[in-house]
Amino acid sequence: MKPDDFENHLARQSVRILPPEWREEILRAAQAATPSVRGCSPVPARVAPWWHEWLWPAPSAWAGLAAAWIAVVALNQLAAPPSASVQFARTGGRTPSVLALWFDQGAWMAQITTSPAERTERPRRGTNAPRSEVRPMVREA
Amino acid sequence: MPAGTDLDRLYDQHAQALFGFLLNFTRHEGDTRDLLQEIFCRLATRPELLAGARDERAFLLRLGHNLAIDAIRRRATRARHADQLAAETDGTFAPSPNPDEQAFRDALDAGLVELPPEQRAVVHLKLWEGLTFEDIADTLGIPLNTAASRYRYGIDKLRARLRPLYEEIQ
Repeated sequence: MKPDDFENHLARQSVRILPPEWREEILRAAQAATPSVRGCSPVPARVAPWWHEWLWPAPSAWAGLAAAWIAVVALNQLAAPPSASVQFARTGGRTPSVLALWFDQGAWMAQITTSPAERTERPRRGTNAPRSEVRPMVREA
Repeated sequence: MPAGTDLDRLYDQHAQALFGFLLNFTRHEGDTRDLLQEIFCRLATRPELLAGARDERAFLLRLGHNLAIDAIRRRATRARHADQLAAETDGTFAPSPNPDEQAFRDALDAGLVELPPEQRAVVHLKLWEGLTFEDIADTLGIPLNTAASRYRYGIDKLRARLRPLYEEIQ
């Protein structure tokens, strides 16, 4: 694209000259900054460990990667099924199978401790027999 | 660590171009001076910056551009009103003994202030640094088409603003 006359006229406008007094001031300031790390790299190059050169060009990327891994581990821990010890602590040892065994055991104990007569005469709890039919429980000697 | 002569050489070869570009971009002489100092401070403390640069001028312009963007944002947050920001602009062009030419340069400065900074950067690099669009795209880190379109938009705005004055002095 060839520039037209207007663009050529713009290009002929002289840009201001850099103030000459700036040269000494700027170069002196640059030389004075050489042994320090003011405003530039946070770690001087001559004492930077080997990992600094590896990590520093992109510290935010490494930090992001570490944060992502932490999040993955945390989510994995939250989603994992509870361990046997955790489950025992939550239920107090009363797992469904243990509870079923407990009730069966109670029923079995009831059976062996009561006589057949008592089992037949004594109305069961929860039955719908009228109160006149309920006989007081008398244990035979 | 670059020797003092290297910094001197870099300054003598590139400081003028950096000054013109940064002054046009920031429109502020104080910020331009600070940016030049920051650039050479970094060159002094981290000489490896230039070690892999294919083109010293392009690298320094890119570094200056990135630093200038931060400077503009800081100044914009400090300025409470847009008119205060506009009042702080400094001219880019040398004074001319010809009054008509001076009037044109003043109008050109005003027109450049009105351009968005990124259009102004491309226009400056194209007109006053003579870079190709490919070099401009590489320097500013933008696609080639973006560089061309920003230049076209900027020039069209300047043309619309300066046409009456331009036709008078022709």
